[in-house]
Amino acid sequence: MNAMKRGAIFLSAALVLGLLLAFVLPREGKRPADDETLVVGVGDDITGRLMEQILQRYEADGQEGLTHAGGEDLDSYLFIDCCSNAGQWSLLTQDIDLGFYCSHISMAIVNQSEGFSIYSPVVMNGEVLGYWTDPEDIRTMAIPMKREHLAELVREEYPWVESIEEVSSTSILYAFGDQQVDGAVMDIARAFQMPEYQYTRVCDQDYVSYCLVVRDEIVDTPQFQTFLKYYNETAEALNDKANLQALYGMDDAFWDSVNLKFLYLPEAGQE
Amino acid sequence: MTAVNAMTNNSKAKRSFPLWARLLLILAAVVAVFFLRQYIYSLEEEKQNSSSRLQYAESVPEDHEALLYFQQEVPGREIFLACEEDLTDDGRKDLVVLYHNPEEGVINWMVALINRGDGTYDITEPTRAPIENQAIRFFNMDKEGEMEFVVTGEKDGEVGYAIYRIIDGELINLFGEDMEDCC
Repeated sequence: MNAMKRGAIFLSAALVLGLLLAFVLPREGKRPADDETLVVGVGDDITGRLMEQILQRYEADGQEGLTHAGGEDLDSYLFIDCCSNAGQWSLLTQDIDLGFYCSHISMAIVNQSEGFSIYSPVVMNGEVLGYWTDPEDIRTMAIPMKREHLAELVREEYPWVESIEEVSSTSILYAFGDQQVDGAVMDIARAFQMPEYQYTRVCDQDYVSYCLVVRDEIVDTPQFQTFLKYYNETAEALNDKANLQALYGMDDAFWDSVNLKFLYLPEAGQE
Repeated sequence: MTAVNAMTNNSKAKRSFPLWARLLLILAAVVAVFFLRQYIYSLEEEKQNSSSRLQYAESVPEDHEALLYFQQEVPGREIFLACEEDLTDDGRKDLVVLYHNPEEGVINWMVALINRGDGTYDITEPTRAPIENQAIRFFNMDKEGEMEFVVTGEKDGEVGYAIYRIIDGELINLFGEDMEDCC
């Protein structure tokens, strides 16, 4: 047998061996279509209230396959605020599959790592302005930390405001309640905790407050399609002012002055 | 003698295909197969993802009435994406155009052509558009009146995302975050 023949035999044997190894070796696991639970990350804000309602619908229909970070099942994934490090990392490290984030953090996530997308916006006009006398008297304004889009909005809408102070979203209501500031832009769910103060919409023009950011590989799962269906049903119900009032209280004047909208998510095959 | 010659030839052949060459061959084969495997898996993944991706609008043909109007009103522009939809809820199709002015540097622009219904259009003030991988998706996210549309794109791997609605004849970004990173 000459060298050429032996070389060919070696090459063939190596190829066969390589092929066997390549296709037998385990590859990076994909989320199976069944027996998996979607883990949704939500902050302690209006998106958290939205998730509560979605979960109630799941439970009422006996659906399984969804839980939310910060719930009884996954205490360690609680994110008080979507702008917190925990909020961002829980998605990037795949501890959660999808999460509700403000516009600024949504962009930060999709630019930080491949494999994540903004699926669609979910809440519009999700913040309110708390004030003591008149919005025109506000000179110092508190806004939640890292909400750069809100700071920009405040500068445009309230040019007379002299100082914008970033306060953590959990303490913003107390900073406002203690009159450390003249006014505060806060998540609407904070206002539910202190209904005695005066609130109004942040601006007349619609703006997006929160988006749904997803890990790309879950989008095609049946669990996600089910989630979209339940989400849209819940959004429809919550866009009815009477339902909102029944759930969260607040007087008619409040609901007339704010302009909260739950947006609809495109489902499979929808344009 | 014949047997001795045969043995000599055989040992020459063995020497001409040394161990390091055999190892190199095996290594090359394993590497080739590894890349083959990655390629096949990436094709599979792409096929799976394509079915789940949100659907983006397709560009209108070059002889589209609104596009010809734009070219007549704003000549000399390189148009790379033009998609139509009723943006103002008046039953008439409007057009969103992404284009480049060759006289400028690496800057892209976007305008909307609002259909007046008489064959003419109101052209909005231009706003910056992404540099690469531009895509438009129309959807009525609040199920009220005007249709919104998402514009996405990239520049050097930085993703841009904006949601526009026509308000008082102007393109207004509802998303808050600007597209400076991708424009």
